[in-house]
Amino acid sequence: MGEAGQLLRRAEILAYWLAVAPLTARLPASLAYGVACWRGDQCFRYWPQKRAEVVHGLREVLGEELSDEAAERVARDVFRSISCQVIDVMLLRGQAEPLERLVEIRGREHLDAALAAGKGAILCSAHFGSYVSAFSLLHASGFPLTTIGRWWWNYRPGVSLAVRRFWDIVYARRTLRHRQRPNIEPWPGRVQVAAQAAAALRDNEVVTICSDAAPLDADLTRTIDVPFLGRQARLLPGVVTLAQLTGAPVLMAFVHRLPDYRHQVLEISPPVPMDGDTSTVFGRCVTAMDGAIRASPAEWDFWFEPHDLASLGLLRDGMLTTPASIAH
Amino acid sequence: LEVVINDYISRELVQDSALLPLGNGTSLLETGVLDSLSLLRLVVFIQERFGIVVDDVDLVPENFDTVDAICAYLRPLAGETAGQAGGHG
Repeated sequence: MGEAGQLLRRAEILAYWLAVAPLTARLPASLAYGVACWRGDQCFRYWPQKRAEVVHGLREVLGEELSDEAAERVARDVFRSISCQVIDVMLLRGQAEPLERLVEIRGREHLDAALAAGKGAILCSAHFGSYVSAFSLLHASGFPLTTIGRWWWNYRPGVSLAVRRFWDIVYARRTLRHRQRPNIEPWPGRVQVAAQAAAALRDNEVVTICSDAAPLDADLTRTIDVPFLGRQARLLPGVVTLAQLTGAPVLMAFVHRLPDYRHQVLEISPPVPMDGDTSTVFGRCVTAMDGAIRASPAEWDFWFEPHDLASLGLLRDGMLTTPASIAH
Repeated sequence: LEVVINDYISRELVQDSALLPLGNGTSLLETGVLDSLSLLRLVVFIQERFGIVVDDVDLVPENFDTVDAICAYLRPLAGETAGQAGGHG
């Protein structure tokens, strides 16, 4: 993509987040998500480089499961899904009632039971579906919830202060209104991260963590190789270690969009069995992530981020033609 | 205190045997002995062994970089804990 194309792309993202999505989210949900899907389709059509990256990632990782035609269709749905996530964020206004009306939470009783035991609960998820908004929704619905995670714009090299401010304002502020504590951000050298999470669990709160996160260079020595999407991926099993040290149960949580694009289901599992060593227990978490992604491949954010796919060890040839995208 | 802390770290957290015997002034952060999760292990150990709950705001590298720093941080708290136990007893 040339410089003019990149500028145009950025202008479109600015306009979508600052004007189109906030206004559209005031319309009836069927219209709002219809507009989001239309925008996703236009991005799919007029952003050929990103489209090619997404299709390439899908074919590389799920190749044998997807025909060329199916890969194109899933890629289009990836663009739609990302567009719809912006509407989800806008619907977190107030006490998140607008989004609450569209998301069915299944397995709430598992979370209630976990918290009744008094040691908090760890929700293990993936960068899958509208997970950030789903966590906000859970908090708004009465579960004191804090997230362990990094905002991408704070750690990727080359992101300007203006861009970081933009994402803070349009995205982070809206979602962090519905959190018990500020995000616990695991930067290299921030040794207090796990202890901060343990403190939240000690107060019988919910802590969320996405265990498919691509490891930073500083974390590579602590990754373990686990079967994930047909490859041996490098993932950090911190969720299990945290559970072992605190006694908090781990529950898997995934949100997926229904075919009408506006309704979603957030499914919370019973606690993951903790018998066995760290690798064994973490393997169960990864199997659950693997299953969720295979069931609704278009919902996994990392198709949009080939750098992350490569860091996880999922790309054979590491097709990395562009810097990490700024889009969503 | 130094002996107990040094012994725990040496047994449970040091993975590179070249660092043993562990000096009380050796940086646990620069040598990679302490990361986020191993610090949590240490905090849990301190709580179980000494009954000291480490406050979130105290979880800074300065308090946990060396065995000496850990003990300097813990010693006043250990005194408080002993005092409280005495008061209740």
